[in-house]
Amino acid sequence: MKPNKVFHASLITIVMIYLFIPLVATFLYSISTDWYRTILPEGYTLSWYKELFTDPRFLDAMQRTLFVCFLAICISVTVMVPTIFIVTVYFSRWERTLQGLVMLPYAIPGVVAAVGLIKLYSSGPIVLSGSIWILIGAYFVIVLPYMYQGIRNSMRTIDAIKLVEAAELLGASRMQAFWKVIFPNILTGIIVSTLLSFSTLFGEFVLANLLVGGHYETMQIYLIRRMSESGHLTSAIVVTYFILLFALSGIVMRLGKSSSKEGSR
Amino acid sequence: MLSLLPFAFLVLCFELLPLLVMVLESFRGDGGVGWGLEQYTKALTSKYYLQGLSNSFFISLCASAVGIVVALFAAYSITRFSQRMRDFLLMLSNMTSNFSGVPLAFAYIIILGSNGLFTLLFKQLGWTTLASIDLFSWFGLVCVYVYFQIPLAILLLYPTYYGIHQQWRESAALLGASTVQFWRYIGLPVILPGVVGTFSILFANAMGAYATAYALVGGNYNLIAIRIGSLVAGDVAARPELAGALAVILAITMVTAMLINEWMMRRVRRELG
Amino acid sequence: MSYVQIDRLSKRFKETTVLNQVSLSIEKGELITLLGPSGCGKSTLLRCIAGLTEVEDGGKIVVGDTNITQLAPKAREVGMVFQSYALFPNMNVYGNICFGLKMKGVKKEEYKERVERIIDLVDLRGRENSYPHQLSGGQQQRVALARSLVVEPKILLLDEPLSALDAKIRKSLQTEIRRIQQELSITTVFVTHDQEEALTVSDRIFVMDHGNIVQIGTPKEIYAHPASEFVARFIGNYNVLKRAEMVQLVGEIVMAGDAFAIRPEVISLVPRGNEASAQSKNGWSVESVVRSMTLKGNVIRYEVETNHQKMQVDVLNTSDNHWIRVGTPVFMRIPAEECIPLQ
Repeated sequence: MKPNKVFHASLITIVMIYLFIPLVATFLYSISTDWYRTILPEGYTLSWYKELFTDPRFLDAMQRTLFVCFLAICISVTVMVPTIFIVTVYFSRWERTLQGLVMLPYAIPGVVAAVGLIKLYSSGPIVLSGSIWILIGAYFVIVLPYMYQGIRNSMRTIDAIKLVEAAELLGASRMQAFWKVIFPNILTGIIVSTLLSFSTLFGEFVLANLLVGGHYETMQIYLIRRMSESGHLTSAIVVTYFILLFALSGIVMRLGKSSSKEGSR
Repeated sequence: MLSLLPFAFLVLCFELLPLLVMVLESFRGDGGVGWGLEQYTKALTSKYYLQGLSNSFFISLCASAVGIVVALFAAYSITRFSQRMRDFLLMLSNMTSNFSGVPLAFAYIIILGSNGLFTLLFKQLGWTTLASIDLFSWFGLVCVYVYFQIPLAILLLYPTYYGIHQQWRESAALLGASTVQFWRYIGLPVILPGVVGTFSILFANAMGAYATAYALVGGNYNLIAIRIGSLVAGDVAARPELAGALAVILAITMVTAMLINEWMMRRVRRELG
Repeated sequence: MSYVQIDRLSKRFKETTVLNQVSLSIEKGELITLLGPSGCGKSTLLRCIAGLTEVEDGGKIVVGDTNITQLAPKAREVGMVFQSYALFPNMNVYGNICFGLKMKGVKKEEYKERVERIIDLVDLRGRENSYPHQLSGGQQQRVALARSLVVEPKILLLDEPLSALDAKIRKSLQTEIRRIQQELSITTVFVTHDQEEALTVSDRIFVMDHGNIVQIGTPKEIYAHPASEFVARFIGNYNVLKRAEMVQLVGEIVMAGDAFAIRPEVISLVPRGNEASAQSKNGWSVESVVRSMTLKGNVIRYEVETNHQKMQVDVLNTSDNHWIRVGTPVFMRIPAEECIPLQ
């Protein structure tokens, strides 16, 4: 048993080191003064972060990204929650259709999705190309699978159909059944889906670049444009981006754990 | 009923119609004139686009193969730790699986670029072969792709291993099977569908990857995803018809991979019920 | 005129007929069970009464003087306890119980006392602030019961309410449900697949098979006089013999009937060589051999073989009967009046 343990431990350690090298290197790079002649940085500084957080272009890009993500996710939540609820509880025969529609984006990479979107909205009756609405529409589609799975799973965990039946037998209207019984119980699921969608959109580059790249500089586009200028500054962006992302996924894991605990009891 | 309208509208406008337009477009002639298979003929006979397809295909194949082999061992090792440690390691994998696209490309430039930290280190140590790795080549791309495949593969494979019950091993051992025999006759056959499914996901993931490659090599390396991107919005004149045909080909590859996964997962669920 | 009248209710799911022109009537204050194997349509019938499943044209459900066939579930004034209880996980016991009253717009001052009374009735005092996941299965069951009773429904519907509980709690809740039902004298429809449960709790049992009601009767009637082979097999461990088999066993018979059901406990075993006592004026004695025995607590079940048949025989587990072992040659004494003819 003993040598086995050692084997597993060292294997995992190596894999984890491999996975963390790029992260650690980026972090060190972001706090180093100069680092191209020596093995370790020549000195440490926080000036890159200072420069970054006072750069109006960065702040604008951040704001744009947050705005687009926020808008797309708000639309997604307001549209998807009632849709999934209605289909699950009242139109279960359409469930497969819904599932097909929302899972399709999984199999369609951004670059493929962009082809049709650009063609469809660059001419003809509705011209959206270059506007943020085309991006928001595309983002709505990208997050469909995350929204669907999170919300659908939490409805399944609480056995939404039975709860609605019970509530209706006790005199609740459909709206009351939804707001008083279903919504409070799937709230955690909605939040988890929202955060997952957010971290996906936050790192989205392909569609942003192809659909609105020229006119609307989001974080990722800002990042790629900065890359050729200053490595240290770029590292600072990447690190900031990652701290945000880790915080998000930390919250998601915590929420997911607490909700699965309640569900299993 | 009425409350389903917004969903139907959005899905129609931003998912179904664009896909339909793309497919229709791929059957048109240059400049949107006439109908036919012209674009497909072009895509599948031109040396340039064929090379893009085959580059994408082989890079994805290699990166996925390396990724899955590493993950096969790593995911199994994770199952051998205590609950706390397992959760922690999975969390780390989850964290690093977010690391892809532009930031990943950048990190690799820092460590393996021409002035990268490791390149420097290898030079000082005198390991010239390692120092001369060209990040912007076929091999370099595989290296970067492997990086984002490993955590994803670990996360996907881990539940499959979890399906192997300790009691199976115990009863196999009581019936006289060695560890090797257990894996040969029980363990591997049980996880195989899961492995094939995961592999197809990895493959699809790599085929569709655009941001990482774009950030690393710009338009300079011939990959199918990059080609599509530059045909619709690139520096050269837009050719949406050809882009459509290439996109349809890419989409078919990916949907096939996803279907293989779906089919395999159904088998896994049935067996591990 | 009965309190609940159900008239020619039918339900088809695609090709399969789940309910086939079912008609029945229930008296006020009565507890009836719908008993049958899974897939016999009993739960569907219950859901039709609740309005959760639509019935096909021509069916009619009347409760009191109201035809409720076309009413929405919430307008029907029925209470229902689900197999999974369907408690609202975000509300505590008190919140779950009050929910129906709130939905009906009852003022807090008015329902307070009612809720307190029902909490005492189902014995949940002290657990008012607990959440469903903090309760045991039995307690969750009581909450579900209280929640549907507090709104004072016209009928109470129970859909296999005890099947998720273990044997001991099930037994105690059976008597509990019966006590509460009688205390409130509420008309109740109880769905179960457990014949013992049905015999314990019901005023009348409706045995269902393939979407039809095949027999109606008090527990005593159903147990003692099953009307068909299906009921005999489902309700107890009857020995069921076709007419030809019966003739083979005991010789020519004068009774009418295509088949006969004989309960295992009415047969007695008599030692060979004691033929005199084995003879009885109204019945048969059959030479046979004990093939196997199973201890079932207070009774021992023997499998006894004649030349033609194997029969189950239950004998009290007392020292008087311990002479009967596997391989013992015996006489099987079958009283004629205990042979129930079946169509």
